[in-house]
Amino acid sequence: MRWFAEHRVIWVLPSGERRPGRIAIALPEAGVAPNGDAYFQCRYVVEPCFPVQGFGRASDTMQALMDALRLVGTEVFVLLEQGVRAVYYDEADDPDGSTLLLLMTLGPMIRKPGDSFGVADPEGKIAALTSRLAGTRKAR
Amino acid sequence: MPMKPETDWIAEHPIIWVLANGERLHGRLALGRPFEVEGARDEWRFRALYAVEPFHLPQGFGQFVSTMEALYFAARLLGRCVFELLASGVRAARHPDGDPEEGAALLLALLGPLIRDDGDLRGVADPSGRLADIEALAAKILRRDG
Repeated sequence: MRWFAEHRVIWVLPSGERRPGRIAIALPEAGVAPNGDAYFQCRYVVEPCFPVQGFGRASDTMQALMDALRLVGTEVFVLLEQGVRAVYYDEADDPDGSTLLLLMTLGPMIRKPGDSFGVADPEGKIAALTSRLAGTRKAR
Repeated sequence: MPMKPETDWIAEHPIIWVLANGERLHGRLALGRPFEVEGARDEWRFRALYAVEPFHLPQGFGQFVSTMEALYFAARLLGRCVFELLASGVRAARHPDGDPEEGAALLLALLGPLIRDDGDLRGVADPSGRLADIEALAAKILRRDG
């Protein structure tokens, strides 16, 4: 996997346990669908909580990257909603304050599962995707 | 870690801008691979370039502690540039004879939450209002430097 953007964090679980982790995004990759159509997909990971993922078939590299940026935001939202916090250093003693930095980094890409990202979604496909993402996710 | 990112675009989106007078211009949205700023001496040393061509040639802003922070910030700046274009009446098409309004809607769908009101936290719990304060500050910085 050719990761080109990374961010190291230490996840603080509700129990107080700390686990080193990483959020990373890979270069968009080209693929070919069963029907022969070319597409792009951008994989991402929120370690060690969630495995490497890549959703959707984008028509170009920008769309693939935007999908990944959004889905990372949804995965982080799922973690935060479970009470997980993030610090940047072992000795950091203010998990909530440090988490604000992560929220600021992801900014508008922090999305509630089921949110269609503020765009028209008449068939509910985007909302279904983010809901499915949340439904299959339980922090390990 | 690349030090000369000028040609290292990792995400691109060709586009045809449709000006208010109907003129069509070929352009491109692009995000570059984050790189280490030459001469940076502390942990705040990463930056990513973005381009909204032909209106905004490749540029970058700020220095960040990780490549991911740099990438997200560049994406937000790109979104702001597109927002300002659309707000000024410019529209977009994917094809030379494409419908401008339909193309603009597709562009909004592509960038989604990057096209938004400042200070909108999209449902993240913020009982103390601290996140909103930070978001407002970030928006101010984006307006000033974007």
